Amino acid sequence: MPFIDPWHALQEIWWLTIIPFSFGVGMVYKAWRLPDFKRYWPEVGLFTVQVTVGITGLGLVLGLIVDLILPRA
Amino acid sequence: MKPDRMLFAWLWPGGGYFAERRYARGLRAMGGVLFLYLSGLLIGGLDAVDRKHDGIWFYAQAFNGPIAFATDFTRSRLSSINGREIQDISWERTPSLGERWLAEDPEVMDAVRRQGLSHVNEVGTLFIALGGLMNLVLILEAGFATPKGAV
Repeated sequence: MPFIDPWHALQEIWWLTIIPFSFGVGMVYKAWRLPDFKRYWPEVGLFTVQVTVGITGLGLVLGLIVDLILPRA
Repeated sequence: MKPDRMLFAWLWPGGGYFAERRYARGLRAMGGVLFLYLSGLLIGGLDAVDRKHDGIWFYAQAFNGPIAFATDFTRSRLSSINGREIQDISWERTPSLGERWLAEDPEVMDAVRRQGLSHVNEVGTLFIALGGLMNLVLILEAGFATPKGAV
């Protein structure tokens, strides 16, 4: 049952949850930060993209270090 | 410092803004915190909020307000067998429970099914904890900041 039982179908694609994660943080952050809300949703969208790309990039760099660089060091 | 506004902000996400009649900001802040909260519940189920077994995470989750305590209370009720939470039960010392599990007793199966495992439990817990920390920002804003605009 949704919201009661865990959604175990997401076990293999858990990393995709970075997108709603960034979106939710962006909704709160922009509600707090913006002086007015004329561009609220575009700002939330931009924040979502920035955080998603940033964390994905960090993940790729860490993956490279752990899987490629460290085993050869 | 405005402790009454901080209390409102803790009681319900965005409540500090609502108390200042800044409804547009309050609605957006509330939407964000509740989005994180409900997403966490959708992903991790009720087991994403566990005051007893994930105590440190619950410190952050508690900033979501009473909804976190209500969720934890509901989880403890729905994850109990004979009045004991499933995580506190020793299956080795309770062979009758193992027999009920093998016989697919609905009460035991429901409690087992509600346990979050691995990534799903971690991500659900993280969503709700981060929602709590974002709400902490709103609580501090309600208590210490001076509104600059009408919105």
